Amino acid sequence: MTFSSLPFALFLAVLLAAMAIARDPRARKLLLLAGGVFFYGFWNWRFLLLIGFTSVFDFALGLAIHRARGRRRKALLAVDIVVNLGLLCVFKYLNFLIGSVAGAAALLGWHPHVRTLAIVLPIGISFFVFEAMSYCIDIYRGRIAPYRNWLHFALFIFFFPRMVAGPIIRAADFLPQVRDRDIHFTVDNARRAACLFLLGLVKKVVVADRLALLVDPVFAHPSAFDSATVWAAVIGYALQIFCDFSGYTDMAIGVARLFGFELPLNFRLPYLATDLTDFWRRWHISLSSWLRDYLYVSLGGNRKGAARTYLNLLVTMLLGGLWHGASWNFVVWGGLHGVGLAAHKLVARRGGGGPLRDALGWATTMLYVCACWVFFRATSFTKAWVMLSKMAFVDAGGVRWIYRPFWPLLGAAVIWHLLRRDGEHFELPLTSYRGFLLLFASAWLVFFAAPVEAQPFIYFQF
Amino acid sequence: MPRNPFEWTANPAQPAGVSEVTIARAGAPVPRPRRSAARVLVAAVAAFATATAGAEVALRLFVGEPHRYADDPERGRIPLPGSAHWQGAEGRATAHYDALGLHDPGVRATKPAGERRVLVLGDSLTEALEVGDDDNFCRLLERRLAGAKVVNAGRMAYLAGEMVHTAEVLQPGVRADAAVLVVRPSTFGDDGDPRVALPGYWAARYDFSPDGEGRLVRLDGAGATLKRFPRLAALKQRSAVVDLGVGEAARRLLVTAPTPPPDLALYRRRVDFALRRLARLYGGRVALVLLPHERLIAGDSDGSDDREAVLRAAAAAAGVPFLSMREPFRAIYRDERRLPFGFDNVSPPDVGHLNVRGHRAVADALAPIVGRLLP
Repeated sequence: MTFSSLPFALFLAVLLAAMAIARDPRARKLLLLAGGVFFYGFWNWRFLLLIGFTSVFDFALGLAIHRARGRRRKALLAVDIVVNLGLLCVFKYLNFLIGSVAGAAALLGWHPHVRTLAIVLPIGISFFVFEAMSYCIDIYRGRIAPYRNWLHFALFIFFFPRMVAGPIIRAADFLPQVRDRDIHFTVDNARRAACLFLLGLVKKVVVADRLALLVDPVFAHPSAFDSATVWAAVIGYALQIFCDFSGYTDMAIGVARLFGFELPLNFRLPYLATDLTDFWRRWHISLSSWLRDYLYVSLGGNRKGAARTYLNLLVTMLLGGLWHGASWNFVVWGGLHGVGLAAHKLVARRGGGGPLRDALGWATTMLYVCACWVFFRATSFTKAWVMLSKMAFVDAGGVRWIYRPFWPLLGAAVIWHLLRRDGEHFELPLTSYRGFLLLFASAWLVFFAAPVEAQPFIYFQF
Repeated sequence: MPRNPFEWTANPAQPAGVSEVTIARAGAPVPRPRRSAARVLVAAVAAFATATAGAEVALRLFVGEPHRYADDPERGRIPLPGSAHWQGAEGRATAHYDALGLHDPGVRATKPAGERRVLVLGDSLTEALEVGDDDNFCRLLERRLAGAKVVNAGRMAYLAGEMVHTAEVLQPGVRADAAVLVVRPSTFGDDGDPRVALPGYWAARYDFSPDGEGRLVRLDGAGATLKRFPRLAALKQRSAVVDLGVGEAARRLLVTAPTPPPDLALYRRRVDFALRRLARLYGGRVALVLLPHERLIAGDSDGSDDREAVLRAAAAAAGVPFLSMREPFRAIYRDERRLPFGFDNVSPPDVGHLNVRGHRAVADALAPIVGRLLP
């Protein structure tokens, strides 16, 4: 049930109607929880047990950690982390580990007979496990107090707008919104929600899904195409993944706003970044800040010397890459970003600045980010290598096919970035001619520009 | 939360202790002055009209003009005779229709002495709206056949039942000496095609079900569906928004209809019927051409090898020359790294309709066959 589907529209309408009828604030919270349960169960009801377990287990561990003292407190946190990461490992990484061990053994000349398990990846597991884990870590660190109302904590875990693809929310940001106020529908929230939802829909359906028509065939058969086409596909993918993921986030924030909840920003025009550090301040902010606060800092951050800082960056980004999926190409992608961040830190120490340096930094960063996206998107290292060879104009020949909508979409993305450099909130004034014009023009765009076959959201797989 | 000493992702716009959520809240808009409901309604209506007009202009510029059509009592909904249609949804070209509603310069009512005429029957690959009037394989074939007139009778979405019926309807006026039946693997096997069920597109057609023997059936009149909605029909001919909107909605509803697996025995009987009928009409001077639709870049067969074998066998049994473009298309991709199908505004690049290279290849391969066929 994706946000851009008819079943979701029906689900949302029914939920809003039910909440409008309900008088009791607690009943409205229960209805929102039931909506989350239905939303997740609609995909696969069997995994409700898993997410339900997380909501009970971490709630109980949070209380226990808060009560405990000394080594017991640390031991309870360790239990929480082991159980949460264990769930992630079993459902997401077990087959990858088995395959990797078997592959390594084969390199050494030993060919064990291994069998992988038919494990279905629960949708959104990477997101809700990280959120639940951060709740207990924050309690351990004394940053928040545990919540004693399970309903509130369950709403945190089952809050459907961000359940399957983020943004990753923190208990400190979300739980006060559940505890301290009633959930109610307001016209102002609805208007702002509609604007955000429409923006996300345009990004997803008009830009990302259209670009997928260029990206998918080229990444599937890179050797068939010439260098110009491969370059277009790589730039197209950079735009596609941004519009796909930030479009989903906009819709998620919009739907959350409909119920009066504020979710964190997840993107801040990442392709305006002038260096890789800046890029990670702007890209998937909820994940990068999570990795910073709960992994990089825990490893020692930059408190243990330059060499250790670089190592910490590399380890953090390697694991960040692995978070995206159980595949070596994500590990390489993360590793490359780790190396890039360390290299930037090294260069940045020399100081300097100015517009020329910014322009050079922007070009270098974009080139590096695009090259990294090749590993993120390619289905094998062989194909990634072919793509990079074509990008370097080695073996540049092949079919020249640059999908014509690529150019206007690229132009629109550039204009969008330049117009919104200040990062102010997008809002349509839905009382004025200009606001309605943008609304209806966007609606026509979505209707006519949407490809016949909708693409799934890229980040649903993580 | 203490100030983060690790500058890696510290956001300069984010003061210490202020979460992203707080920043989001800070960006919340200030309340706007209230406007009267009437003013808001007027603004909404005016904006809708402007957006729709903009969509109309944009569609005409970048996608195409609305299709203008006439209702023919025999052939159903046909392009308006003498009209032109510009389309950019695939390729970019203007197609001019003749007095018969065919994408063709037209045939003279009086057949000049010595002129030999060939009627080419097919679907949208033959009609070829995506390439210029002079670049489709019928025109290219005509240039290769000195003194011959090649009539393009291709029509989008036609299946064998409509092709055979069209030949019978056109023959008294066109008086062709030979016919070329240009088919895709699905041309004889798609009675389950959801388009067949669209009342109004056809007036009459040969229905092959259930035993493969064609029976002429008349549907409920040309344009029957739209005739029930005359205002919509008129708008559909004038407005790109309505034309594409209705078409788009129908496409989204119908595109997922499953195609049943082919019954090869039934398929063979359909081919036999069509060839027999055409051979009777043109004195045996008929050729059969197959345009396979395989993914050349992916190296995937279109799964029609079995149907190609049936077509080949049926043609041999009927004494009809058979041309499969499978190998010529593969050779174009292999030797030239070019594609016979597709344009730079459709995806993937090796599907869709024939491009200029594909049309040239068909004309090259077909010219000697038609040359031998003509008296």
